[in-house]
Amino acid sequence: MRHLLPWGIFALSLLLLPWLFPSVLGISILNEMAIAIVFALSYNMLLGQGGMLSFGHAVYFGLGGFLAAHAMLGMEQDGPVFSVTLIPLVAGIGGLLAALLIGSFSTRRAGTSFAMISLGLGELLAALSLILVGFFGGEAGISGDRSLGPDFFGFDFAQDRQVYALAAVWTFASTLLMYLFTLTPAGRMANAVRDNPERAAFLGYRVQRVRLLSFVVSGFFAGAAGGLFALHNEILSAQSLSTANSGNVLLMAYIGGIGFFIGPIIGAVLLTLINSVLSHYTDLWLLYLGISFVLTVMFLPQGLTGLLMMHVAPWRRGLLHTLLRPYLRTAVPALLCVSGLLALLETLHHQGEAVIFLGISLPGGQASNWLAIVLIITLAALDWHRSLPALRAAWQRATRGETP
Amino acid sequence: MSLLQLQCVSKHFGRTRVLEDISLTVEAGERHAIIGPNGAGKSTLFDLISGRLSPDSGSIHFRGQAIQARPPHELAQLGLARSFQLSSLFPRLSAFENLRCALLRPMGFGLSLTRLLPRAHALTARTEALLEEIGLAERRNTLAAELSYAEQRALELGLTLASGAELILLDEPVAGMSRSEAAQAIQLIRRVTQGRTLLLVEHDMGAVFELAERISVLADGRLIASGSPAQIRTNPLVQQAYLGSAIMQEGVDA
Repeated sequence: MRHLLPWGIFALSLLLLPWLFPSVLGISILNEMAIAIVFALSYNMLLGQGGMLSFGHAVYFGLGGFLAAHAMLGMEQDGPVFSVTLIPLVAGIGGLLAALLIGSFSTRRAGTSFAMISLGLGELLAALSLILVGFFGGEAGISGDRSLGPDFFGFDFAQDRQVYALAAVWTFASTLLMYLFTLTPAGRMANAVRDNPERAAFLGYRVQRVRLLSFVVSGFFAGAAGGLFALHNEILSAQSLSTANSGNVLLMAYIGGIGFFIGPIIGAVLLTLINSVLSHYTDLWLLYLGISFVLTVMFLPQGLTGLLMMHVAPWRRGLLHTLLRPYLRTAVPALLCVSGLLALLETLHHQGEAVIFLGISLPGGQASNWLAIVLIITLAALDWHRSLPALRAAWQRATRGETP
Repeated sequence: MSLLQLQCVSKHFGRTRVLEDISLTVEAGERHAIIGPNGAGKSTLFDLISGRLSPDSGSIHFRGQAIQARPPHELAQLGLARSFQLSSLFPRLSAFENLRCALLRPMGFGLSLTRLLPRAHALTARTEALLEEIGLAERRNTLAAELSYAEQRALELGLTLASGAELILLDEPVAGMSRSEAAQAIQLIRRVTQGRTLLLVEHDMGAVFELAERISVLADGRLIASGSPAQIRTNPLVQQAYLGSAIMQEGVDA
């Protein structure tokens, strides 16, 4: 029963969130989150579970999306053929076939050559999408109307809300299926091949076949995510296939934590929020995203999920509360320091103009202002540094189970 | 027909001759050890038999089929399993998961997408039993990377023995073990290879004389002798190859 609890929470969140955020923007962001979850999970099937670092996963997402857009376009021209609810399936099969074709040679080796082939093919397809105008629609992309399929129990999918319902069902089912994959012999052998391909071969497995199987399954879900994306946006452009999109899914999986099944879900939710919310407030959000990624790689190789999981041991010992005070002690100067840095970056970015930062208006271009900010950063950083030994000591007590 | 047959096998690395004209047969059910001074080419010979390397000339037959150009996974499917001198495990999987991976193919799970491991009770039971047998039951959920050296050696052995292969190649299975650990490992090897064929490379002469019915001696890339332990002990060529080394003496005492 206990292992059903996370699934209950997941289903409930998918169900309740649209009631909490019923605005057009809210539903739209929820749609993007659901899509990102499927895409990021499919990506981690390669990176975290199979040890295949791909720089071109958007290829399968984009191809699935374009297939879905064409399916919608077809219904516009020839009338309803099949239910719109099946469009993600069509897109998934497209992604699967593309993955089968490309994987048949790219999965021969993992490591650098796999990464380079994925990067090259990603660029190739992005370039092709501007050349093969018939399929990819050139600069304008392909748009289709999702509401022209046959009615599905009264749903015509004209509204975002109804698309969200479809996306939520697909996301839940895809997540469950991808989780079950990790419990199959194929999923376990993917882990084994990730860890030690030579040993897997000496156990009688054709290593490439193990990788290809993961790759193809991953391609299916990436394609399905692309199909949902096409339904949500009703337009697909070359941007979906781009290396930027491939990079984005890598960030989601990595920041969330590639060593945990739930990691990419957390990463997808967080990055979707950052992409859509933070970008309203600052032009520099991509810079912040890049810095967070670098910091994650350097200090949290297990991602945010790894950071959470580190606290399981102190929690089991009932010592989690002992960390609260040292955390607060460190958090205050740390937040001050980071805010100072952000203020500095923002004022530098808006040279000469006034910047509204955390509700405070900072007139730009004044040296005294910058000096004050730098002073705050320096003092906060020093205090932050001073608070660390106490935090470290508290952490050791909490994890080794000694009460102070 | 012999289970394994090597005919005039040679292997060079660049200009270095590693193995020259090796002919060797291993009969079904035999326990055969290959010994020789360091650098004699023992590990290379293992790599050739198990498909990690292919010979420059000569042929290798396993169950009557030529195998000298076949990849490792095919040899494993034919019924040949090997262990590695430096433990070759799945470091980020637990001891239990390591063994379960090794049991998947022999128990007919292959690369199934439709069967769920938590429901494969027979597989779990077999894995637990094997874990018990190699003495790692208490380290069930420890990652292979975090096991001690001796525990990693035991797991290495477990991965090799799990396959149920007809021919088992062990590359220095007790290297680096303490006396008591080695004795335990030898007991385990004896028990699990019952009714199967064992080919073994080992430096520990105690282990060799305890396990092997036949011994072949490699020196400087050539097979200089092959025979029963008693014949090998008294063979003047072998004594000459080991001249100045105390290992042989230890073997005689054992």
